[in-house]
Amino acid sequence: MTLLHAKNLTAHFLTEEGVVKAINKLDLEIREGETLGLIGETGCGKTVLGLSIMRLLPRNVKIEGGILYGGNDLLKLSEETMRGIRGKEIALIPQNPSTSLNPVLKVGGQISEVIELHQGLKRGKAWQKAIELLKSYGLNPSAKGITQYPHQLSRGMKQRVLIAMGIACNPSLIIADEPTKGLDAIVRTQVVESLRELSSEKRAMLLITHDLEVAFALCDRIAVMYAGGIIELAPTASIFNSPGHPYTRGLLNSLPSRELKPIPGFSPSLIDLPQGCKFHPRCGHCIEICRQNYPEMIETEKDHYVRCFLYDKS
Amino acid sequence: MIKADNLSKIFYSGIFKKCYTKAVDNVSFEIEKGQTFGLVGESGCGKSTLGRLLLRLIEPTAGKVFFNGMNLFDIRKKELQRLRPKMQIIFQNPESSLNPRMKVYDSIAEPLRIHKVIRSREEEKERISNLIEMINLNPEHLGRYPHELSGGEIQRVVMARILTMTPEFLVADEPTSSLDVSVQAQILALMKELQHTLGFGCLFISHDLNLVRHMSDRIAVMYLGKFVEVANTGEIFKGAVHPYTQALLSVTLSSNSVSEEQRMTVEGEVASQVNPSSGCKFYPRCPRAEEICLELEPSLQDMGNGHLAACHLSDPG
Repeated sequence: MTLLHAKNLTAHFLTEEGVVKAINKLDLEIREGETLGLIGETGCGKTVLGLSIMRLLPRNVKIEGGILYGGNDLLKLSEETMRGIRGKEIALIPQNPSTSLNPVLKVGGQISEVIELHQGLKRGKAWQKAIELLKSYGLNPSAKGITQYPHQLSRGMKQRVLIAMGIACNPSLIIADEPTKGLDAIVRTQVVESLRELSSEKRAMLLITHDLEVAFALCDRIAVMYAGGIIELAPTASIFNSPGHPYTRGLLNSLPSRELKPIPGFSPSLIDLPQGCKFHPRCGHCIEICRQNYPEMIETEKDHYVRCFLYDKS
Repeated sequence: MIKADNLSKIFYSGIFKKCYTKAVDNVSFEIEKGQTFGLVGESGCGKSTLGRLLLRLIEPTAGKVFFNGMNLFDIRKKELQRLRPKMQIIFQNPESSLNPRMKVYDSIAEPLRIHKVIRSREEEKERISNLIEMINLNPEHLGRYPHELSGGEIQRVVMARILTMTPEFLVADEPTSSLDVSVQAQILALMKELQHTLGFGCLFISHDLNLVRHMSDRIAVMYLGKFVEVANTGEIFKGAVHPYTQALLSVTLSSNSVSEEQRMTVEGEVASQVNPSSGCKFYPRCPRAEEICLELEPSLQDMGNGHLAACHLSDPG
């Protein structure tokens, strides 16, 4: 069952230097209860997709298309209705734990605020619930964790506070934006375990990351994004064992645990995107048609979609 | 070529300087020419401090560093300045390692001008255009300011700066920690290639064991200022002895090199280094800790084959 469907979504930033085409005609379905990984390089539009689902983009962005959720188009809802959905039905775990928490409020208060607001609990009860949440994420409130300010916590702990905050109202979809960025190996594993608990319950998660190992450990399906579009979508094992798109293959080969072999060239500027397939200037298999036309999604195996002319049989 | 001898650095803090942090605690090792020495550990374990000590960017509390037989902390400032071109560093944070008010061209040219390597502007221009070709940058990048470049591009500019000199020793302090996998692979491939052609020795600092494995000949695992295990790369991945190393190996999510019985998890986070207690520093988190670990701090023991480990439980004697 589809939970959320981004349909023909386009998000363009109108800036002084030109139009930054962050998302271009993107189509993506998140199914109920699944963990969908969204991987890609910095600046390919991953975060913008997350933010546009939450309707948190700045005013200079032109959004077209639709985001269908529970029979509604999120893009057409009023700001007031949207506020009721944020945090309660769709929650965001933002990218940067050190700047995402309010530095002058204790973390416990920041979590209980969400609970008070969406579940109508009184302060004492909400506080109680916040303590329970933090406990389940390995932060020990008896060790003053809950009455501490963000600057007193380490990066990994702040990340877990944010995860607790995201899950506080039991949302049906969580968008986790680079939850393991900048964490050490050991702390990263602890955060991955916390996220794994989230996803094993009946809840969908969109995991935005460029850490392929984390995506491999957590996701059911993986979508690979390049220059504002999805270029490959498949079950996790299928992506890692038989990647179809040349970009996905290159990405996997650049992993230190594989060959550490870089993809030649650089990501294109989102202002000045190449014609045809966006990857063709860096692609080793580029043929004439790649330069002119944008390929369609082609199903190469069951449930494995690739946007590449190499698989076009017609 | 570079040799650290009982190197220590203690930072004092508090109003009366009563609190102290042993950032680097009695560390000794050698790096040979052309060799890459990997340094792994969690944030805050003293990796970067050690890297800076080796170049005398900060003064040590005790110990010596020999560079080609000369003790860096003994020689005069003039002499040190003469050695500087031979010792270089790539910093962790690409955004803050270039002067934001200088164009890329001037940033690269600065070391040439300071050390008076070139005689004329024409020579400078030629030298720089050769350099940026070596590191795969476009000539158009030269006219830009650092904020107009991506993280990967800045790291390339930093590399070009380093290559203006002829380094014999390079400290790479998490050079790719803020980069994407594909860009990381590009930068590391470039580093390896340059090391191959120029033959400099390298201290490669990272918290990712997988990366260090690719880059280094020998690896040291650091925990709270001390080396807990030092061995050749293959040895670490085959037969890690120290529980902390084993834990690090286990969390390398995609590693197949760890068998089930070796796999272990570590709870909690790094203890504070301020005013540490006696005994093994890993004791509070170690799943195998015994009584002796609390009382006596283990020292590095040779397990044979140049494999050193500091753990009572693996003590051969």
